[in-house]
Amino acid sequence: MAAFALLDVDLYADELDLSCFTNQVAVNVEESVLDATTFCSAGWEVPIAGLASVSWTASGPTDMATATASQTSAVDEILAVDLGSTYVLSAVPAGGTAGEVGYFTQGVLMNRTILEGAVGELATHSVTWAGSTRMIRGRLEAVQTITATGNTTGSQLGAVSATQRIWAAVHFLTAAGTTPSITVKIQSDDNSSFTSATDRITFTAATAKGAQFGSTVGAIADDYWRAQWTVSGTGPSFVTRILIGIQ
Amino acid sequence: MDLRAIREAVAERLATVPGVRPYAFPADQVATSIDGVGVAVSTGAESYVDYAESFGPSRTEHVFLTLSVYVPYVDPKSAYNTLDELLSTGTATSRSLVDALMYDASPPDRTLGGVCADLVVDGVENVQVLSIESGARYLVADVPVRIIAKRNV
Repeated sequence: MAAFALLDVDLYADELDLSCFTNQVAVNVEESVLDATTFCSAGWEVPIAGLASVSWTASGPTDMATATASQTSAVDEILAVDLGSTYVLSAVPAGGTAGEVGYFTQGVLMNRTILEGAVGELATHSVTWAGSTRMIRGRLEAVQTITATGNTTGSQLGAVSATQRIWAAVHFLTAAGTTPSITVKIQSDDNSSFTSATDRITFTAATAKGAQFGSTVGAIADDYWRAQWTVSGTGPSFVTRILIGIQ
Repeated sequence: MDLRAIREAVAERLATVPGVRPYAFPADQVATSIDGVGVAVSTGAESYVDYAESFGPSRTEHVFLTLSVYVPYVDPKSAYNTLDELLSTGTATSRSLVDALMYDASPPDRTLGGVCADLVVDGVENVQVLSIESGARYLVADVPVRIIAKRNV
């Protein structure tokens, strides 16, 4: 992939598609710098890494609408009163096509400017999350409106070492139907046909819009990974995004 | 976002103002056919559309229109009185162009019937007396309108 313009960035915060309410975004990871300089450092500072941290900031047009279960949510409805709450955060920089690189984590909503702007100007908002988990660089595994039990084709992400974990984030942007329910699993196998798939992460059954975040520690020798889901209810429909990564 | 639908919706809304004949297209095509007060909807003076105002497939887009108000210039007093009546707001006038767009009802419908998300009338510019080829003269004013829309709305 070459350099690209920031146009179709997909940003998700729990069940919220934050993309349409954002025109400025910053996804940041950093280590605190500890100064280990001594008299033996030959006149040069010796920095070492301390604690790592993640931060997400986003700002853009706001919307005070309230959505039904079958509609995608508006920004104010989801972020209104949840300061201090943990959100599942995902970013797909080059747009929402399955297979694209995606970053995801969990973050605590720390700061929010609910309304900003001058008279007659676009009503805007801004929001900041502080990461409560490490940042994971993975792939957007599924971009689907799920109506029946199924799975993704999967891909060869690689094996998980003993010091790594397989991570996954699932966003349900809408949940329509009568008593709809969906249970998502992340499965691995040693072949692309998934003839002997093993469940590695099993999320709890979802019956409404929302998001889930999970991981499983290595070592896992399997190198093919996919998402699988079981759906029930009458006329169920879930607009779903699934991200997976090994870190 | 349907630009034609937005232009036509603006013109339809202006048609509710008594004595105003709106045109949903640029003024230089309608100036010679204006009968009485005419308002032509044209593109913004500097920009017509700003597409990428937010990320994602349903991104926010801005549309800039200019309403060109043509008042027959028989004499200065009557021309300016008519123009002022059209550009006044609130209870001061019974035929306000601004209120027709921004305060048409209670609550107001600034979505123009659902073709956009919101609209703002910014002000009045370029008030001038204009002579056209037929020799007719008009008192003309430009009214910039900013419209907020979504790509998938």
